[in-house]
Amino acid sequence: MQKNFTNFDIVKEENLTLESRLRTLETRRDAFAELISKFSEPLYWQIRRLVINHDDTDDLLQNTFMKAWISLDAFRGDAKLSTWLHKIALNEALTFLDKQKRHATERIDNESHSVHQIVADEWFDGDEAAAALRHAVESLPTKQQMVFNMKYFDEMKYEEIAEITGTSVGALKASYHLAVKKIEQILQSSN
Amino acid sequence: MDTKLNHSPEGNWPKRNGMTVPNGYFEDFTTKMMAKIPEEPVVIELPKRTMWQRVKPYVYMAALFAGAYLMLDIFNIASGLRNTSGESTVQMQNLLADIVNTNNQPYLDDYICISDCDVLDALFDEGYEIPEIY
Repeated sequence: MQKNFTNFDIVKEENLTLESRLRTLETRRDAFAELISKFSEPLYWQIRRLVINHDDTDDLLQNTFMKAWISLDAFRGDAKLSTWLHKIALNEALTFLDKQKRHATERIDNESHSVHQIVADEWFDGDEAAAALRHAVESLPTKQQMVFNMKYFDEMKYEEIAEITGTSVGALKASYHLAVKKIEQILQSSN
Repeated sequence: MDTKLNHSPEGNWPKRNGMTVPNGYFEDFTTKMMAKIPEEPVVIELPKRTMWQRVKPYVYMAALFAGAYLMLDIFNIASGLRNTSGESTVQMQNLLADIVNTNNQPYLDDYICISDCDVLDALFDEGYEIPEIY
């Protein structure tokens, strides 16, 4: 069942302990398992809302953690663990979507699933309202979807989103505001 | 379709997007992932640079400048800028004398459209002495 994640911050002390254990060779493996337990679900939904397909999301999530494991020594600790992991996850998702666009046969960029297709999806159990909203969100450009998902579904603060995306808070607010307007228009026109 | 959704501001939109996962997916994910993580962290060793690799950029730069200077010398541009006596200056004088020679008059007039007098005046101004005079 999907959870709504209202806060991606780990308590500072916990973060420092986990980080310090990740840097120590003897405790690294156990600490990484703890990292996976804590972050797999929020990262999964981060990716899934962009990529849509469960199996693709599963692959990308595994790639994310594999890259995190390989880059552990490169993690300088100047950003939060959650921010660092989200960056890797979003990069994986965006790279995957770019590759999909280049090899697209059925779906073209910005062409979203119809409401009926969404409702018929094996891994969807929402009502028509949820399907309509998802259809509208899928119509947005990928990066705008990303901002909308983080702000609306994950209820992240603009400052947190700015750290992950490297975009200014002002630009994010504008992007989110425009996304909301577009979604309203799509929902009204589809009635 | 729920009409309320269409007219409501974004605050009333459903927070749940309806996507689901297979049963036990998250519970099993950690175990599945840790089984794939290699025993030791992967350490990527950068190959050591040889002496030649370190020196190569400077050698290439030196060759570039040497080549540029050689090209300038071939076209006598460098020597033409000097206005002191020397072998290249004598060669220039002879070359210029040949150009203004009456046998090359048509070439001179047709190609650069200036008269002999204009050429001689310019050469005198530059400090050259023409061996042959009219």
